[in-house]
Amino acid sequence: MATRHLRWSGQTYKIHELPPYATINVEKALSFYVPESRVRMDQAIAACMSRGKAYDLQVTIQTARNNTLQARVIGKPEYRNGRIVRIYGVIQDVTEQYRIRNQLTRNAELMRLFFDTIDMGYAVMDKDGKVNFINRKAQEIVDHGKVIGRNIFEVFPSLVGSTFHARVRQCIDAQAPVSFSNYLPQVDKWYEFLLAPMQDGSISIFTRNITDSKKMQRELRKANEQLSSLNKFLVNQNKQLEDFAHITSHNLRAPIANLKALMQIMNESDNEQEREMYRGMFAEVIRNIDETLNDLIEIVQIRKDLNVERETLAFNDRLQKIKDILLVDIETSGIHLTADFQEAPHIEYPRIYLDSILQNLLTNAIKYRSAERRPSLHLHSRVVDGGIMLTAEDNGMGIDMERYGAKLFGFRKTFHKNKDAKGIGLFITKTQIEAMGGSIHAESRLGAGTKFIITFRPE
Amino acid sequence: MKPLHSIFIVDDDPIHQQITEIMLDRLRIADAVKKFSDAQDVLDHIRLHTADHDGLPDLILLDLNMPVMDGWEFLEVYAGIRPQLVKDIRIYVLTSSIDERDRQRVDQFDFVAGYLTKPLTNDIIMALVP
Repeated sequence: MATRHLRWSGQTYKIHELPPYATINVEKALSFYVPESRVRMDQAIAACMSRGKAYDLQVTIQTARNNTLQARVIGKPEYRNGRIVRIYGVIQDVTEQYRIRNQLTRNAELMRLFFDTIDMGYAVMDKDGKVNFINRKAQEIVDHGKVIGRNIFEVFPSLVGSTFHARVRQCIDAQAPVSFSNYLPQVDKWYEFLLAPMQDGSISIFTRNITDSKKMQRELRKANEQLSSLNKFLVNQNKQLEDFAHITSHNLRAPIANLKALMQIMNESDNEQEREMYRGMFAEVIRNIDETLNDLIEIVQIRKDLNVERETLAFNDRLQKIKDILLVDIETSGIHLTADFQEAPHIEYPRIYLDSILQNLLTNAIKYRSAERRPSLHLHSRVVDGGIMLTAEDNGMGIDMERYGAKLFGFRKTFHKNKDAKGIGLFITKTQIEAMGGSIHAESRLGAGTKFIITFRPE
Repeated sequence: MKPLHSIFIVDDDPIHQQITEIMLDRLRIADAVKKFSDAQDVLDHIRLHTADHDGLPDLILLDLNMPVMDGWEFLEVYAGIRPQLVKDIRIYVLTSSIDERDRQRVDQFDFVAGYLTKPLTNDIIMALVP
């Protein structure tokens, strides 16, 4: 202090890149510090001299060879008789440590940047659930204030005992990565998780919001089902068209052949009585063609009218209407008609179709009754997966389904000698059902009765 | 003596039955013409007359589209009875169908003499006469 004499150790000279034991004084020593560090050194030395405050600074030095280095300088006062007589200390080259520490910080920063940029939530938690690191995305997902440093199971008690919890345990126990997806009802979102155990015992958690993906999957699946359905419908339509073409050609071709033949024999005849008879036959054939055409048109109409209005109908009401219409036939046949629509009392359907279907079912039950017993018909409705099922079970003659099953709903395909039968009642019924997306089939035992099962589908 | 002794018309269309009968009568090619609406009846008749030369027809004009038992079913059953018959019956399918598939299906029955399309004409009928 008194002499302001400065003494350096050999190492100190080395640090400053000066030859050992070169001349050195305070001024010169201080000149090695870069301006910013110089200011702090001046202050520190001054404080030490006046108040005895020890200093420990990290400073930047420019050596004699113009190299920059980071140094740690420590200075302490030495007292004698209560007065500061000298300052002594050490200087340490901490350039390497400084560099490493900088690198580490930079790396950590890069990592944080990386983790914040990726589109995944990333967090690190220890075995017990304490969150040691969480990136921005994960923080957003969590959306619950600051969770870092806190235990995830305390922040979200609902996670305790959940799938997530179980998977965490699984990850820890197996010391292997675990991936799974989980639906979080609180936020109505789907998340995909990847838990990876780390060497130090903590767990890396990667997570991603896959709600959109899941939604898209579901949409795709739905679209696929619809396409499948449409495909089935189109295939069916196609078959119907083929059948229709076949039917039309036969049912019109036969009577027209008759007309041709009639023309021939009429021309060959000069007997007025005969010609009169032929004219009668002509008229009958023409009537036949006319009827066939009307039937075909009705069927085409049903198929075309896909925009027929559905309305809410009560089975009971419609059945009553049909009973009124068929009152005479019901009385004459003595048919015992029962119905139970309790399980499915209503249906959204076009009124004329439903009336027509019910009427056809009742008419058939009456027409094909067994002579051996009092005819009965029971109607029943219930809800089934995807629609409403209506069954009509009678105790009539029954049908040999093995032989005639395929012809049952055909156009003008009769298979018994009943003169009233034109063979289109069931064909029309089937068309009216299928045009609205439903289906009909029959079960029957000869001599016991027939059961028609209709499935109506909603829009 | 007419060329054929008896012809069976098997068809559910009464008008067609009538017209065919008239045409056959006019051309005088058979002693007897019988009309059947039900193919089952024809089989029953044939079964009753398996050994009866006169009871069996010489010619059957068979429709394909008939209720209860159609032409195909008839042919299947007939194929089984045929060996027991005392005489060979010439069967012609007579249909309004021009569907090639029907024709091919008929061809599978080798005992069917021919496939005719309605309406019958005098020329066609004359060609049936041996």
